[in-house]
Amino acid sequence: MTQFRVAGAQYFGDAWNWVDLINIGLGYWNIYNQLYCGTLELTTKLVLIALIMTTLSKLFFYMRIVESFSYIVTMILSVFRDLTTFLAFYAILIVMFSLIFDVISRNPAGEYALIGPFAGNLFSTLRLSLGDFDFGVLAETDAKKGALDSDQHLLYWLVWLAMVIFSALIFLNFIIAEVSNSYSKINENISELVYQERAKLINEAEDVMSKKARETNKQRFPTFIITREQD
Amino acid sequence: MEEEDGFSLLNALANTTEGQLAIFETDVVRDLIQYKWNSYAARAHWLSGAIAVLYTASLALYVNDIYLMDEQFINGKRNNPEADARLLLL
Repeated sequence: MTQFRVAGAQYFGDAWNWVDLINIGLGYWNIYNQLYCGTLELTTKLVLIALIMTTLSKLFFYMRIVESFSYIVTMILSVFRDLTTFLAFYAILIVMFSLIFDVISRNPAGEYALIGPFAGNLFSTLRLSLGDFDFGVLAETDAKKGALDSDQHLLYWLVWLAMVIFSALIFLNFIIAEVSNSYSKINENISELVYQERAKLINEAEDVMSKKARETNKQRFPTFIITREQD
Repeated sequence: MEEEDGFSLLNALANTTEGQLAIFETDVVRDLIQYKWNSYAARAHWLSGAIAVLYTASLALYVNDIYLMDEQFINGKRNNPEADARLLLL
């Protein structure tokens, strides 16, 4: 609240402040849901999961206080930023290949029975791209349940081959290479990045101080600093 | 370190871009950050951090209590355990 009062509309310019607001809002919503809607209701579970996720983000934020954690948090955030384009490309690849599998057949596996055939094929394609192969479609022999004929079996294998080459062999390795590249790039500047994170934290601590306090407190806001180096 | 139009040196340092990171290699900037961090920022963030850890611990305690320890099955069906108002208040 103090930060909002001092910073005004600029408060909403910082993504971490949004995480704070969402975390507080979800916290109260969760209390309401737990008390009045029932602990096992879907909405209650969704809100609690979102609350846990935002709490994790807040913990990541506070982990930056400790220098050794700050390195890791900075790296994770930077790697995520660098990977956005790759992950978007990967998502498109998965959706398009799952559409191809939709054309061939729905996946009869029991674990997809309650989420619908589209989501079922989407998840089975994602699992396929990670090397988790499932050939339930080919195992079906009953024509009434959508068994494929021999030509369609061939078509399935061709699509499977293309999918494995594109996603598991090429794209997954691209992502690993990109993470490695991003990691080494950040590692070169890690010391500067950690100081920048510290500057952000100090700036945030200063945001909650009034202008008057900043002008009058000479201990915290000195006009100059003298440093001495000892051999 | 003077403030002008709401923008301070720390504000400028916090908003540096990737191409401007070299500023953090200079001793004067490092000393400034170290001084401010040690004199007040660390204390403020440690306090908030401790509260965040307590909050997370109470959330974990609540989830464990309601979703695992108080789990009830009536006629083979999982039932809603009652919410723990005391823990929620915490």
